[in-house]
Amino acid sequence: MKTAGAILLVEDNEDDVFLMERALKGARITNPLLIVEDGQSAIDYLSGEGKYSDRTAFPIPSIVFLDLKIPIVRGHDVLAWIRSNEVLENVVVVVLTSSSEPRDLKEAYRLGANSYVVKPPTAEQLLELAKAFKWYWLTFNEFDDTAASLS
Amino acid sequence: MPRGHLPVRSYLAVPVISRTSEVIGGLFFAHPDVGVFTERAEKLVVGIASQTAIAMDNARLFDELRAAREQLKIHNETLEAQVAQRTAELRETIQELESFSYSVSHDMRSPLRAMQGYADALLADYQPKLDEVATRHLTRIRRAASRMDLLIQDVLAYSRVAKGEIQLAPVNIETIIGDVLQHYPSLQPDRATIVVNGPIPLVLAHEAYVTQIVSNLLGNAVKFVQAGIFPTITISAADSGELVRLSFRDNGIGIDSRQQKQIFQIFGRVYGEKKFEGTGIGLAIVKKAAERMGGSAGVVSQVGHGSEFFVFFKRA
Repeated sequence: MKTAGAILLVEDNEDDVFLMERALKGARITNPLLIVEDGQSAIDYLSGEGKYSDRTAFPIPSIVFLDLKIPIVRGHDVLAWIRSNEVLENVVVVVLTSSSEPRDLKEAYRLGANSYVVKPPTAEQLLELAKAFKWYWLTFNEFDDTAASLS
Repeated sequence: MPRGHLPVRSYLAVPVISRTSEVIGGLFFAHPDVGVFTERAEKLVVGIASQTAIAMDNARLFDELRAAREQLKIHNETLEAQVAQRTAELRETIQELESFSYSVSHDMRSPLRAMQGYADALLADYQPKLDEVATRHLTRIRRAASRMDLLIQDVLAYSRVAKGEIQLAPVNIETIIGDVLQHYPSLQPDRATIVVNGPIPLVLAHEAYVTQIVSNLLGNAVKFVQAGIFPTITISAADSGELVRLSFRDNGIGIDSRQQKQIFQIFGRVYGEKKFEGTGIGLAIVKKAAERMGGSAGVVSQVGHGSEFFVFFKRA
């Protein structure tokens, strides 16, 4: 399998969750979308701990949309954790944040983010982003899922 | 003469006078014989007195100097302590400001996005059910939120330019202009003619600041134009020894000489929001960025005859 599987959205702001779901739907992205609201839940989900142990219901995602300012474990630390985990090294991590601070951007790339996107201010622009994302990542990009299927 | 006192028949007294004309002592000579102290003896004693005065003056000066030095040392130590304390206070303030602008970028933009996003969603998803008034109100909510977002972005950009750490390196301005021209819809050939009269010498600058300067100046040049006039901008550079003068000449509305200083101040906009959109921070960013790189920015303009904005850079 080369196309993308599930998408994990790590986002604590329910408005942003609503707007993101709406944009993904608007762009007709049909991949399963799973949502966790804090950094610790993201780590639990990705390592299949506790309530996330059922990999059919909670599959390892191909793509993670990661907010930086999230409760319990901050986004940068989640990113570092993902990159230190062999099973997850091929997961595409897109940082989706309201911060355009150069230090956040620098740290995200240093820790191994695949892409860094500042949350667009309008729903229209978010829809454009979702479409562009679909066009590139879900149409042309090839994913390496061997690691994921090993787990 | 009291009993037992030496029999004094000749007496010579000479004052010892300091540099400040103060009598600080005297030299006194006595002799039992009459007429011992001749004019020559007096001259000699006057000479000794003046030497004595110099010696005493010096001793006094030395004491004063030592006291002053002591005082200065104490003063310096107090000053150093004061400077250290103020520096610590300033550092704390700067840190507070930094974390403030950081949370502005994170926390204040998020409710704005919700306002804009839900207004967008209502307009898009409920359009058939919305009457004209509802549509207009929602549009206004959306517009106000997007203006607020622009303001926050510009204030953040300004504070980044004002306090950010930079390292100057050789920068090719022509490449940056090319990138900026590609990036902005309002700078495309169907909306403005922008000519670069090269070559532009390499400058010693911080690339992100140069990008900010170029995009702000070009953005203004295509915006502040009389209705019906097609914006035309010429970019050129002149080499003046250690500096490079980069110039943006436009065919815009021009700026009254009385307002030419004001426009470079933060929120120093001249026109109302209705006539020309903007936050009034763009040129303040340009000026601050130029100054941070060891240069300056200014304008030559006349109402109705366009403007020439210029920026001085250090030559690479």
